Amino acid sequence: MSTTTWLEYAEHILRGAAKFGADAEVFIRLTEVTEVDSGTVVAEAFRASNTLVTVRLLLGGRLGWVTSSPPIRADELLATAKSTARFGPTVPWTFRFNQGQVAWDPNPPPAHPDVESLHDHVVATSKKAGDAVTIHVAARIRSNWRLVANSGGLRVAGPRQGVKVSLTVKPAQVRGRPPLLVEGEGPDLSTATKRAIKAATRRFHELDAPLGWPPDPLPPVVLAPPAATQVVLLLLHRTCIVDAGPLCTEGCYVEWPAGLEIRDEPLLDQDVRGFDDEGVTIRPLLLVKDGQVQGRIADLDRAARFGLEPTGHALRDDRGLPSPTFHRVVLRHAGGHPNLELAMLDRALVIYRLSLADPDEINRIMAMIQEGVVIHRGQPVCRIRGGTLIASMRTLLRDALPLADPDNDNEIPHLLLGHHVRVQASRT
Amino acid sequence: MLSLLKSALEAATADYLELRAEFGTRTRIESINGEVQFVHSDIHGGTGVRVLVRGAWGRAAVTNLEDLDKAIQEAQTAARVSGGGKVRLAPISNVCETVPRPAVRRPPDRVPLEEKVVLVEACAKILQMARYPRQQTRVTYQDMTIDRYVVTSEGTAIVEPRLLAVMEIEVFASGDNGVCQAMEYIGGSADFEDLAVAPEAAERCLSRVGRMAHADSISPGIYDVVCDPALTGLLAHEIVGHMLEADVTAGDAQLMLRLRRATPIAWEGLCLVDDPTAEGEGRYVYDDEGTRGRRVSLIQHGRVTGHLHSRATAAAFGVEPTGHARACGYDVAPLVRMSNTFVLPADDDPEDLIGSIQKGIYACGTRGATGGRYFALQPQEAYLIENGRITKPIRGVRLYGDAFECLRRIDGIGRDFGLFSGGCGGCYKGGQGPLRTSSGGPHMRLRGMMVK
Repeated sequence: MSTTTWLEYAEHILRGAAKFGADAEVFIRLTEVTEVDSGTVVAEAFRASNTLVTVRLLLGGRLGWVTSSPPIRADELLATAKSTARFGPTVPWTFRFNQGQVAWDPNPPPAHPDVESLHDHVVATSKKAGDAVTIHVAARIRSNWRLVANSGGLRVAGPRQGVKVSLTVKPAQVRGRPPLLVEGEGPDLSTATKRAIKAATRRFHELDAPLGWPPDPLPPVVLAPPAATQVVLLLLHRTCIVDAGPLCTEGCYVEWPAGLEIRDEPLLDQDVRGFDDEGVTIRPLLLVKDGQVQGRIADLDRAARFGLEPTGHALRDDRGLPSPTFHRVVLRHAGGHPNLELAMLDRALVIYRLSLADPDEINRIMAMIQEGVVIHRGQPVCRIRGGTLIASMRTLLRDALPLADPDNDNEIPHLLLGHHVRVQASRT
Repeated sequence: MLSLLKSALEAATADYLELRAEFGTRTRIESINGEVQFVHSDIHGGTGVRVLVRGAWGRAAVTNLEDLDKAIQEAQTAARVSGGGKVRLAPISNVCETVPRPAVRRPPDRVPLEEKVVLVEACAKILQMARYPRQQTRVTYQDMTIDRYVVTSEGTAIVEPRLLAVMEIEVFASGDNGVCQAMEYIGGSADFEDLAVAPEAAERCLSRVGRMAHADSISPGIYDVVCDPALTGLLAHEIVGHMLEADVTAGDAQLMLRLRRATPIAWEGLCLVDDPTAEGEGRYVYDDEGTRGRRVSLIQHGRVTGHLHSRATAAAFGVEPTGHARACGYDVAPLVRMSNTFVLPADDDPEDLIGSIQKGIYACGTRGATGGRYFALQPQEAYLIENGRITKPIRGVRLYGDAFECLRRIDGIGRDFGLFSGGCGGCYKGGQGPLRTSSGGPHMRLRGMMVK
């Protein structure tokens, strides 16, 4: 079906809902995925196309919700949505027209490279590092075209694309050493690949270091991307989302460092006419400054319940309801980065990746170290896999300092933590 | 549907082509703090294509059946591009079978939506009786009725229904020493009637959070620990089960050496199996490659006796496939996954296991885990054992350490048994989840575990 036909389909659903006195919202997402993985074990390539239709229906003040993939007939969809609305929650809002800039782009995202071209790119990338290391490359291109239409008169549509390139780096000669895992993301294949290669190159020298355990006494701990991003997002999730979840709003006060400024910059890699999955215009937002929360994000439902305006951060995860999600979080030191570099630290434990698989921990963070390295004057001493980072959610970043790094173009830089963390080895 | 899939195979030029389709409906209802948050109906379907050409996989997936021929072409192209891999498939008997729906009292698709909502509201109402500062309660109901198809160019044509009804009941509360949580999983079978006990589970949840709200923490250190059957199951799944999935073992040279057949890796009393034919949430007849699932002995008297296999890993290991290639959707490739994993009962009286400990911990239920060589397990609740008796509740307990070290610390296994569903969550290996599994066993004693 063409994008015009999808609009007609959405209009048909909205008219059908109006016939029995309901307001409705139709969300349609056409997704294309192309993946090539040169494979640490098995090489594989993948293509997928997926169509999802979601209808939310307000009938007598109650919310009904149905998703369908593949799409079914409009009348069947409406009948199912109506049956769920009978028992759904009463909500204090209705679907409305987005007051922001109107976005209507019927064009699909740029065509993906065919699998052969992507495979050639993956092979070329894996050869870039030379003979000393073996690199396995996985490239994933995901694009979609979204349409949001509602009974308030909103009609927005447009494409979106994201690319992720993952590298698994091993020494070519030595066996039994765990690989380095790095990723690069971007709006296109070239950008994502450059970011991944750059991140990998910076860490090649670690491959020679033996495996070890977190040292005792513990040296200063540095969170490097992506662990820094994982932690900052976790804490933002608890403090900068309206009604974030169990006991988060008042129970999870976080002490943010005075010098840091954290912003959500959704337009860095995206179309400036971007909109979220409820059709609300995306805009930059200051989240934290001078140690204080300055902005919180909300979808239509949370905004209405707390007397706020939706902020353009409602995204749908697969078939879920729209929920507040940060787009691109950027962390900067308010007065420029302090003049402190990783290499200047006499000794440090640098953590690259944490396992934050424990979503219900309210007060403490207890995260397994998946990848880390102990450095001495910038040189790797040993690599760390295992051990647990333990800290209070509240004070984890209280004295954190971003490290200056001219080569680092990550939105969230390396963060040198204060003395509020413990690292526990995983063996007696 | 089956004939449509079979006719689509005719265009195949690959060495092996497999179509996996699923079509059905799912329902999800959630109540938070006594108020229904949503009632969601999902109409679900799509087809996955997997092609093997000269030892390399190509895959494609589509939601619209009219795109299936194109998807087959794309998968074949993808496989050719991947080019010259080492994948071989162990042979299986090609079966043409439509597995009947499980004979249950009330399958979830025959239950009116109103009745499901009423059940959720009844549990939510019980939870609202809690009166803690800043409490939050959540009740989630989830069901699915899905027909799964596996059709291959070798001649396999299987239709197997997957039915499930499950509930998760949860209370967060702020107690004397911070926030605590209690959770109950109910159901996991194809029978809605099994959820009739949900209100009792809500009561249990409430009393548990009451105990934990006033519990003290203990000092981190080394303790003797007795796990209840649910935590024994989590340990079996996370610490041992994943290591014995053949794709995990094969991906790590050290594991390959340490987990060779007949190698002693645990206390001699430990016997562990995975059994997709057992009555648990991980039950199925055929896996996602069309191999009949069978019970596998993983550890017998402390020694490795087997691994879980897909067709590809079985070929690589030179053994028969065990029927453990499972995918949590038509659009992802099957991986080697567990089904119902449990420790077999032994001879010890559970009370004796506890009675033999001077100072230790009785850890019950499951709340979360990080698996792998270095693991961390979180029980739902824990009690101090003093002089052989359970004395008082303690909170914030986690067991952690090295998997191999942990297996050697087992020194007692009870004669009781329980098998537990994964609730609305499940296994997330390789980011693919939730996959329906269950795990369990008897009470189990471990000496000198690291606890924090």
